Amino acid sequence: MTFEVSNNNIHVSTQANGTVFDTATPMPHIAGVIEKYISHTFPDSGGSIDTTTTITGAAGCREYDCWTERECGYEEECSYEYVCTSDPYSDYDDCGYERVCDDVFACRDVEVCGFVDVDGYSTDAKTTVSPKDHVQRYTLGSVESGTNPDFLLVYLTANRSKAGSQNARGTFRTAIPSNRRISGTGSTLLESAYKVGGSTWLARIVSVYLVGDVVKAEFRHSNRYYGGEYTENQISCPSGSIDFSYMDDDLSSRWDIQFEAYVGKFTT
Amino acid sequence: MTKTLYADGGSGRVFVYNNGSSPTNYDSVSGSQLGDLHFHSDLSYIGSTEVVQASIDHPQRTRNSESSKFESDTYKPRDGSSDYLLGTHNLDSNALFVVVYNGYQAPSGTRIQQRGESIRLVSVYLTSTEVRLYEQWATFNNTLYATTQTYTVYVFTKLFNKSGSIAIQAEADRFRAGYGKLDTSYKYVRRDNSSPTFYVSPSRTADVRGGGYKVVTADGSSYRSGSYTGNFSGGTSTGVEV
Repeated sequence: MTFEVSNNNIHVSTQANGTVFDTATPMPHIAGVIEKYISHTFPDSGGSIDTTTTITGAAGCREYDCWTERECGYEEECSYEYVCTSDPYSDYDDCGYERVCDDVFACRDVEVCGFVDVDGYSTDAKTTVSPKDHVQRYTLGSVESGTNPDFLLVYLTANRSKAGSQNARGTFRTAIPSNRRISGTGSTLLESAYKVGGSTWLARIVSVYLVGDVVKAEFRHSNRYYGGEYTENQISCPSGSIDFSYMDDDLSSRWDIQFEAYVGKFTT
Repeated sequence: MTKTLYADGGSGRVFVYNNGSSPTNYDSVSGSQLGDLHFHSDLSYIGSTEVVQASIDHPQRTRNSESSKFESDTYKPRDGSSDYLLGTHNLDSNALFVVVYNGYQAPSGTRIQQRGESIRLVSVYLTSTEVRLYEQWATFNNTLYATTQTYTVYVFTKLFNKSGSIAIQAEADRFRAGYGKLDTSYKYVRRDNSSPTFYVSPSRTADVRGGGYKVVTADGSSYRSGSYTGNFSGGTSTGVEV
């Protein structure tokens, strides 16, 4: 062990560990430890489900309908007529009302009902996501006023209790293990989503930083417009309905994070 | 600048500070006085005793063979996660640590590999006895080939509480002061911008804009996704030696 005082410096070293203490290369004092739990929800970005509808005869739609048809044919028409018939055995005619029937050709309009083929609708739907930037800051705590710290180490134990997702690609990617203590110094990449070709279209981070004597946490989100890759088609009949609500992506995620911040100060 | 080493044989307190004023000025240390001090037995410090370094062979992640119904993707997505042991430590699960990924101080959740949309992300975490690596991967149209990455983790013990009754002691192979808080058994984090082991930053190290992200780490390295539209340039940082 070497303990040396020279040139206004104090230097302590050992063979095993080299320099352990040196006033020329000061070590930070830990001024405070701040622990705070925050649950933050990244909101959904909004968007739309855009539809385009065309008429199609291939929908296999049939509907019950009634219409008028002209129906013609011979009908027996009867009436009572005063009919006289000669009696061959007398000079008198035998008269009286008799029912007389005759076949008469007639046409009339009749109502006919039944199932008939009708055109349906073919509807294409695609989802879009609106661009959005979101930021929210929290105060984790502070050290004694006037400290003016310049050293910070941060650790996070995080759980994504609600995962944003897309129907086309599943939940957003994260490499933050659930309920494990990871380094959170500076910024941490919480979630991201990628378009075909590899560019990100959504990214979320959390940053921990000093503002004077105060430790801040900032959750930040950004996504650009995204649309057109997820499409669905439904065939419907006039009496039916369509529902594309299942296509609606819920991009909202909730992160529950326990923060530990070690705030320090180097010798000036 | 004058340096003063003060040891009180009665109370056992030890101060080292950067001026010639009376040690009574530092009997009760305020936040604004921390900049004057090199060491004070009433304060807290972090000492490094362990460095864990491991190279991990991340296996190939083969894209799905099943084609996708979505026009712009040819193959259906696949994803999964893995967990690797980097090494063990003898401190507790609340030990402090700093991670260097393949020579860079990337943030947790960082990307270590990308081909097209397929991506591999990692984070290091500590348990009560182990230093471990968590990997999350996803493939779309591209297979992620096997890759070897090196992870270095500096693990620190917290010297927050007084231990023993030694105020100051110099031996042939050991120096101790301040009830165990200054002890040559440890390697301390010390400011050294000329030949740092790593960097520490009290600032943000990433930004998001336009749906993309940019990382500027404490050691000054940076990378960004193609869609990032901001102008983040990083924050202040201090080089430290261990």
